[in-house]
Amino acid sequence: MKTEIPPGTLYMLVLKTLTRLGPMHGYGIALHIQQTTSDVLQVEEGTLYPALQRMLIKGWVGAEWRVTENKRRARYYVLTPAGREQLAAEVAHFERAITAVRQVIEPA
Amino acid sequence: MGAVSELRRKLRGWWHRDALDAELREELRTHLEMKAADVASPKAARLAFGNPAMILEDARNEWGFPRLETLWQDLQYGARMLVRAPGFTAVALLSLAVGIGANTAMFSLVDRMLIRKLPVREPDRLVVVSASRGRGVSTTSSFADFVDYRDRNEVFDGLVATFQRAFTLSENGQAERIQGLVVSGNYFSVLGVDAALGRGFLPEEDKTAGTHPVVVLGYGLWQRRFGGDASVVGKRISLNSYPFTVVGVAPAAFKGTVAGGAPDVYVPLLMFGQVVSSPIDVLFGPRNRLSGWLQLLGRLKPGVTREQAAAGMTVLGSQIARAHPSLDPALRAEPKFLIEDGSRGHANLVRDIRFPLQMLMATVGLILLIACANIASLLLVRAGARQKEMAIRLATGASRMRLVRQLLTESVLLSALGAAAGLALAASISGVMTSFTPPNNNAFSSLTLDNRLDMRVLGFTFAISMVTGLLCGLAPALVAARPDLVPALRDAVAVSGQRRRHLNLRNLLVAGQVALSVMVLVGAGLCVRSLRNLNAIDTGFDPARVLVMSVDVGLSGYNRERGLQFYSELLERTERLPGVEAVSLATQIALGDGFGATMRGEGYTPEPGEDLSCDFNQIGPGYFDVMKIPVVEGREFGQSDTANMPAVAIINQTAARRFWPGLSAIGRRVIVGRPPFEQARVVVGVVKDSKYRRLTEEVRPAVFTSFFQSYRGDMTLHVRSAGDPATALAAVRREIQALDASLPIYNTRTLEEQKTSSLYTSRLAAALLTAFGLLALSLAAVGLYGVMAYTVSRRRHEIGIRLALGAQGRQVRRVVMAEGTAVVLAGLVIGLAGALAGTRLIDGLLFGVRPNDPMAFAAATLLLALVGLLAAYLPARHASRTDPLRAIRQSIA
Repeated sequence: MKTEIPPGTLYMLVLKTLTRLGPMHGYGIALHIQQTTSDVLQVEEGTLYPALQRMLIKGWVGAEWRVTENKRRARYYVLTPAGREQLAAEVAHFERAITAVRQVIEPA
Repeated sequence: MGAVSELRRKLRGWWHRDALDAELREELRTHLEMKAADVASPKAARLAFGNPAMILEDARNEWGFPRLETLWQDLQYGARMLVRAPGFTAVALLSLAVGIGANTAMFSLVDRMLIRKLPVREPDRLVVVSASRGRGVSTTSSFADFVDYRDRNEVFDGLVATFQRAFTLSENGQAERIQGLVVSGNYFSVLGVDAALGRGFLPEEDKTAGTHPVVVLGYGLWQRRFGGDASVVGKRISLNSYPFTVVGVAPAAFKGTVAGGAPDVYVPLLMFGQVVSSPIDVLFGPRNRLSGWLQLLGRLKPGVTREQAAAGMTVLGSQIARAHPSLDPALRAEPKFLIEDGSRGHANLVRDIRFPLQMLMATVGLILLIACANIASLLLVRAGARQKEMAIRLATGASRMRLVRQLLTESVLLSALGAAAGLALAASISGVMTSFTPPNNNAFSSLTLDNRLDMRVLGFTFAISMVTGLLCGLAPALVAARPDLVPALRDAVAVSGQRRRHLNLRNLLVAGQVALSVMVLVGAGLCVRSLRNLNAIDTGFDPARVLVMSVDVGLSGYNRERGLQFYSELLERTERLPGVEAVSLATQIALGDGFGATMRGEGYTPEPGEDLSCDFNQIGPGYFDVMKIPVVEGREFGQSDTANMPAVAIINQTAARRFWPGLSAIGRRVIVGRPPFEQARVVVGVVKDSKYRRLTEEVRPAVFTSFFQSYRGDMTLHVRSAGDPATALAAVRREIQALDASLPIYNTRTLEEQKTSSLYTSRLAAALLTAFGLLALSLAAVGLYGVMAYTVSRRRHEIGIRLALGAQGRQVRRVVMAEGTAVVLAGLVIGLAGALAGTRLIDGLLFGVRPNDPMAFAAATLLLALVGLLAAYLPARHASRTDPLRAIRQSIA
């Protein structure tokens, strides 16, 4: 079953993917998120690319052109120190939020 | 930090947007390819991918400034629309330029004269300090009182004294008459004004009189006379023939503490004795606490209110008054202190011009409103014409908000262009305003109309142009962005009766313009009538062909004896000149500053607190002959009324009637001045009343003394010429120069000019209001014409059918005229009612005419009705000449 990506978590997912994979192109990022979540989370291209542009502008990621294993030229996104800080902040925030949500819903 | 580097990255991306675009394109293509390789078919991949163009667009937009880009598009589009309708654009721009230009010019004047606070430290703590000692007594302070107030008060951080006075500046052999402000030594330090160059006055320069000849130059004089040369500090200049050292230059923004003044030089109070001929003990003597001459400005201690300051000063004033009891019973023993807002300095110079300026500012505001209404109605007309365009844009997916924004951008663009044109116009309007020169005062400072444009004014202009753009664009934009899609797209013929609502809004706007115009026109009519009344006032003297010019030999170091000799010789030489009918001397020029004194007749017992003030003038023999003021009893002064002879006086009829009603005044004595400086004089003549200081004054008692008995160094030659005063002027000037080539000659003018300039506030108001009234009228006419013409063009089809069915041109004309007439009538009624309420406010400005003067109302009504009906008639005539066949064919095609 497909699930929409929870609002506000896309940056975190992309940043985390980049820490795991190292520099990666957009398709690789999308694929990784989809595979890691066993197809539960699907990243739409229409959401991913504008988000990547915003992250470039904010300076969380850099970009460079590299050649893929299959000899294709692709733009690879690289995590910057600012991106690493942002990830830590977003993860902390997310966990605080999820803990809070759990407190509301769990003791059913 | 984050936001800045973000903006930098974004700008870099935007700058390389073509490269960025190519990269995004390639990136998305690769993505698609990789996806295609992973899934079954390219088609499936594309399906799963979504619309690549949309993704590209969305991703690209992240890099741009979409709002700014839309704005830029709107501006380009707006500019194209303006170019495409040159007639509309021209009329709209002209209306705006006039409206905004007039406002800018007025505001620059009002701001400098009335609004702007002094450019000093914490101007809000400054207060004007004055002490009232009874009716008709000056509220200025004597030097002795000032020193006590300054040193013994507990409410001020500092108290400064000033006195305005003109000086003769000589430097490098060139003499020039300049405006000076005589200031106490603590002036610059209390105000917190730092010199632009050099320094202000030092505390040790403010201890003993006459020992520290230093001056600070005004910035204007420094630029004008010394070319902004920094080496001026330390330079020696001479003021009234006394050498001074320049120690500093005041900052450019600082124009002294008298609103409307612009001192060229700041002279220490303690040096004043060196530059005037008045006896030192009169100025600085501890005995003289009665004749005030200093204006005081205090800086309140933090936390002290004006009321507390007034109370504190009144206590101090009473202590001082008890220690130095007044000899004059007419004076209140204990002064009552008034503490007023001093953040704009002393207001004595701008007092007369304040109300006219405020009224004119309100009027130009009305003009701008009319221009707004005018443009709004023209835009509404265009909104009608652009319904199809709007409908197409709406149909192809533009949002209404987007259209409104587009249309507002257009009107704001229009008003910004209008503001630019208005700024250019403002400069010439300012020129016209400053050409109404205020009367130039004799020895004291004169009002300088200063209205240069600066950042504050530009900011004001920018603000009003934005507000104007939104104001006049909003209603049309809302109407235009809501077209009835289907008929608009079909280009259907508008049938009369349709879109009634918008037409009503248009008519309302035109009626509003008419109403505002009527109000301005009525105001103009009232001011013109008032000016005519003022001009018709009998001055009591004959100003025709009388020339005046002043010299001050006291300032050139002449003593009394040499001065008397100089003036006697000058009178003799001038009398002999061909073309000179009569010549005399006086210290005061009629309708000028005037000079006040007090006088009572011997044997006359004044009521307690009675105002004994009178006008005072020292004159030469034959003065009343030159002025053609009849001597009703006794004689004029002659050559024989010299210092060795009994002190004599001539009084006016008002004085004679007051002191000795029903009796002859000749041979009786008047006491002039206050103790201990009072003088008894024998009345040798009574002259007819005339106007002394202003045309509208109630004549009060006046006393004239013989120049030979009460000598002064500064005198004004009065010459009645037989022919052209300009010719006589050149000849008299030559005579003065023959006697002393180094004497500066000032106040050169005819008495006619003096009379005209004394009316300058009324002339300013009448001239500007008339100009503004005609402006308003033409704007309203253009507005009415535009709306009527539009109505006719929309109803072409209907009119064509009527004509084809046999209607006469006359009938068509009547139908169209009826609508225009109704609008004009409605506007007239509203406007007249508004004027009736509004003109009461300018009552104080009017002379001899009531604010509801029927003549002014009738004239404005008539003028407006004529122009309005003409503006409605032209389109009506056009309508009646419609060719029915063509009209019908066109609307079907």
